Amino acid sequence: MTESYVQLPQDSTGKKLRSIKRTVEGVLVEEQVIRIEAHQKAEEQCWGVCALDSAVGANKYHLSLLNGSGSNKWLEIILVKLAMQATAAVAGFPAAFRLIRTSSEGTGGTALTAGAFNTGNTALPAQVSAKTGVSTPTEVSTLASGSATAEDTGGNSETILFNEKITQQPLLLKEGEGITVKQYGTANVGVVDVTVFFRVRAKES
Amino acid sequence: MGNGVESYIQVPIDGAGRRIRTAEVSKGGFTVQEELISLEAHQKTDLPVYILASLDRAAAASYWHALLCINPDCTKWAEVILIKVIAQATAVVAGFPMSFRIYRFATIGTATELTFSKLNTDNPDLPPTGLTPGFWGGHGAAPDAIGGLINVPLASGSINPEEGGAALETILFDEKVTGQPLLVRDGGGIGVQQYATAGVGLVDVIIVFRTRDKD
Repeated sequence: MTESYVQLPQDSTGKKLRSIKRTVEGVLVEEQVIRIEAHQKAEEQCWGVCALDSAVGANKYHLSLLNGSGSNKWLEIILVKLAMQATAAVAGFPAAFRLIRTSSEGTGGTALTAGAFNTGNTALPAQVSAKTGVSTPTEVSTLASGSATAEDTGGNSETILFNEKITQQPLLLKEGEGITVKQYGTANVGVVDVTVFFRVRAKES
Repeated sequence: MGNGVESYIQVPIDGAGRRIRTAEVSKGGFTVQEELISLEAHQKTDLPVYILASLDRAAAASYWHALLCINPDCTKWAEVILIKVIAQATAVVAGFPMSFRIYRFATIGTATELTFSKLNTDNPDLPPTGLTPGFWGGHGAAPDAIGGLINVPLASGSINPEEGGAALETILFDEKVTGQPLLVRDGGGIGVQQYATAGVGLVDVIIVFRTRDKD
């Protein structure tokens, strides 16, 4: 491969193609700047939402996220991570947590506020709702399962329930769709934190 | 015709205008030009990368183990690439999983300053070190020393210094996962705070970030 260039006619008066000037091997050349229309669009607005210090509970919904009808947006789930903790040594054992697709938020619960990766993000639509401790959301299907323990000698205090880097595509939430992280049917011991990263994009018709 | 058939488009003979950078290669028996482009990716390799390492801090309830702040009117912003928390101990300890969280805050109060490291020693120094008007990194003892805390957790993870615990590290943020960095503007900051339990052991926090001109 030899460093080279193609020399264009002189600049005209039409639209301007963006470029970056570089001097390479003594020759001033221009590299066109292009935009990659990839699925993981760096410019789409990302958010993080956490449920912190959620006490374990059999079949408890630790964090639920719903993209309600009328948001006019779709959500792309990037990461769902669960971490167990304790305030003292506990006699724990592996607890299972499931990532479940939902079609309703359920009732009750405490609202959670999402934090922006960029404080210049546009505010989330009001129809996008995150809560901890809801009851009876409509479960559609189980998407993933993982286990963690708060036992001091247990080892696995965290589990990744979803990671877009592995699936190579996000978990998509259209309007009226949601997810929840649900504990299995055993109470177990310890305290749970759940983190969800997601981006917002325009909905498709 | 067909997919994957080597071909070329022959352009007019070079003019007298600007030069599009290319690489001259031989393909399919022809000498052709491959245009070299500049990707406007978010992970710009040209931007200088810095590291804030807060090491050997004792676990303590609600302690801010690492703080990165950019004072107002600084001309640079930080794009956080990675935040990692690790547990360690200097002897056997009776530990348990402890939770750590990322929060944003607006200003730093009383805290201990740390020095930034450069990934490339040619990187420019960060806008004047010290509390104003540039970048500031450190750790702080009391939550009430952190003014303007924005009480929305961005991420959480747990570690355990117990010798039999195994969960020694957590990645709180990784740009390779999110596809975009965590942006810190001038007049803002991010910190890693321990949960409200004292815990045991020692904690290291590593924050890796690049700087760019503010918009």
